[in-house]
Amino acid sequence: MPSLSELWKVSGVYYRHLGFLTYMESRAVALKEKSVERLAKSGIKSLLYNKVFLSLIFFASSLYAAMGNSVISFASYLLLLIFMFSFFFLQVVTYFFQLNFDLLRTLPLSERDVRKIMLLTFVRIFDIPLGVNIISFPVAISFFNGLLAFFPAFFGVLIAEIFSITIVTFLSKIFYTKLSQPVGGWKGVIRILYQVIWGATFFLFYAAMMWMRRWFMNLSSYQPLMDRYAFIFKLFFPFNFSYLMVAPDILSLTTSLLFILLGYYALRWTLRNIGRMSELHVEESPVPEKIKMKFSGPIYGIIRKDLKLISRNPGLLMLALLPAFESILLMALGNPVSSSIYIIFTFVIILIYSLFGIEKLTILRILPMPKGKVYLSKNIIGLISFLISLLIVDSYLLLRNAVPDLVTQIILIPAMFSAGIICLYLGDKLGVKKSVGLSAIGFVLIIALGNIILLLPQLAASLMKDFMNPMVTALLISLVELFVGVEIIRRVR
Amino acid sequence: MLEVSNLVVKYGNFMAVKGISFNVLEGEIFGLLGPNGAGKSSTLKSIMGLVEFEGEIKLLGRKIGVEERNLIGYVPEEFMLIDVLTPLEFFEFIASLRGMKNEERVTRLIYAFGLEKYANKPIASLSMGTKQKVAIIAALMHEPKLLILDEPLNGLDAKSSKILKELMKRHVERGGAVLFSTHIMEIAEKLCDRIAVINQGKIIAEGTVEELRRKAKVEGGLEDIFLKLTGEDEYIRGVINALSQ
Repeated sequence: MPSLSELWKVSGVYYRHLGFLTYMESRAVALKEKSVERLAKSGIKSLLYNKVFLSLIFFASSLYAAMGNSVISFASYLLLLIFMFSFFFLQVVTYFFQLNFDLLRTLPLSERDVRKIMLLTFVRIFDIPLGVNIISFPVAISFFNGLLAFFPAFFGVLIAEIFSITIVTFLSKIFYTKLSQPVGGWKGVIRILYQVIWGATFFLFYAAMMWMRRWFMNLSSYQPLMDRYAFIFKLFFPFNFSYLMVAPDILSLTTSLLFILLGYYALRWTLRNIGRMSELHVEESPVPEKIKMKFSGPIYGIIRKDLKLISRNPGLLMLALLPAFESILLMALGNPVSSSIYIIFTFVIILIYSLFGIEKLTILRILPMPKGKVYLSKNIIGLISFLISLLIVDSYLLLRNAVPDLVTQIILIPAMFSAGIICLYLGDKLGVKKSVGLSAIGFVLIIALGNIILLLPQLAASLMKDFMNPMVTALLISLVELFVGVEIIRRVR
Repeated sequence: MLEVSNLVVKYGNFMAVKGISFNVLEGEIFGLLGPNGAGKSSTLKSIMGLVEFEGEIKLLGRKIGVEERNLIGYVPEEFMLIDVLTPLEFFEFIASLRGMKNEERVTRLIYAFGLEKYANKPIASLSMGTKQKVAIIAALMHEPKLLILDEPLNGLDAKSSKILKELMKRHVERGGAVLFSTHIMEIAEKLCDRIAVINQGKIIAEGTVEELRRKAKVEGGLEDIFLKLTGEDEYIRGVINALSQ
């Protein structure tokens, strides 16, 4: 029978694979060999950095909470732990359910050993933050609040960790089964919705961090509420454990013990589900009674295929939504509204480059499709993403009682179209986007050029404002740029 | 129909194809036979423009450009499918790009290869053989003049192999041409009108099975001819002797 350290070593191999899956999926759907090799290395590093980053947040929060020395500060820390854990690891745990451990079953290992390896791989996802929490909070509590508080703090963290792992396992199971269905109609819409939520966890996490910071800064204002309804709060986790740390009584002790029992059952449920992950099946597609197909024109054919790819690949879907998310996030952080159009454009270029990069490696290369038309179809998707992003940003501005500059946006649409085509053409010619290659200087230069093309109408308008109506100048320049884009589409074979 | 002259394919310093020339005529099945790494797939890929090459390749007297791709149906050795799509969605995509209007032929091919059961499943979830059927239908759907098939029978069940072989025969009967590579000697012997034996990037013999037999001075089947021509017969005898001891 292999020792635990040997099993831990084996689980490391699966964990590396998990890192690769997570990292690769979020970057591209088709990669060249060298990039795959690089991504395999980056994947594991990325998981490590994420864990260290989260552990640092937890460490700082645990010190801050311990120094707060109040029911509300302890409870806030435990709530933060549950929330952060559940969302931060949602994507990785979803990929964990995709891992196939069947190879181990063909080796001289018992089923018990295989399940142990599965569990150890699962534990590796959370190991550093789990350890940091379970040590830092109880130690800090006993340092600032006396040794007696150590035990409720320890069990409080333990139960919070168990609950959060149970939540993330439960959600990941749902996401795994929902995301894997290639269905259309309403089910397809629901699947996309799941993907948006699943992919937006990063933004939820970021938003939660900002909200939590505000919450922690105003903790003392919530204390009177806690005092008034202490009886009710003592019934629920994590307040019961917090009361146990500050002012223990029979009620908080009893409910804490009940929650420890609940934690035990939650842990059992999680372990059972990890052990049974190979039995998890996605919904079967029905056999069609009559085969029906819809043939369209070549450009629409590529667009339809790309939209399907985007809707089924969380990485690409996030790339499509990133322009809007990112510009709103930056606006919320105080960035000027005027720059949002360039931020959106930059992310749109990343999206169309990714879609074009996929084509470089697929069947399109052997089909009768001139490259100009491929640029056009990719750029139409970019334009759709650009317009949807502008719509989201404008809606956000209207919600904040600000008036979006619709005229400028409309004038810049032809310029954006042309900039997209020129960026694709140059990227293709210079071979910048053979795979992911986003760090390439060429790619940065091309994006810069694209932004200049986009900026040119406004720049010309301000330079010519003494001679010509700025709107007319901007529109003219934008249309001239459009002409250049159309010529590229026409000429490139 | 297809003329390949002085074809050279290089991967860095490695020369995979060393100046080969051959023609594929209308109404014939031309087999490219060779051991692993002989340069068969590189030759086929260069015809499709998937690898850079030196030399000249012409289809119906014209260089193969974007439009000429519609005259060719290609089944690659490595799948060029889109895993997240279902076979039906994949066929719709290919047909749209080929400018097809009528779905009848695609539907007939789907039923012929028994693919209807898998029509709505993601390609990623299909078995090797079923993926191969998807690739074959995608290559046949637009009734191309030239079929280029790289190890097309890999993973196919007996029924689908038979159907594909019949389709190949009918295709050439109607004036089309087939260029295909295989390791399976019996199939090459039964199907091919002419064969080119390729070894280490060079064509070492070309002709009908009878012509190859005369050249190799061997009485047996194509397998014996092939081993003799590639010089692997001596090696095999040595290996078998060593293993017997």
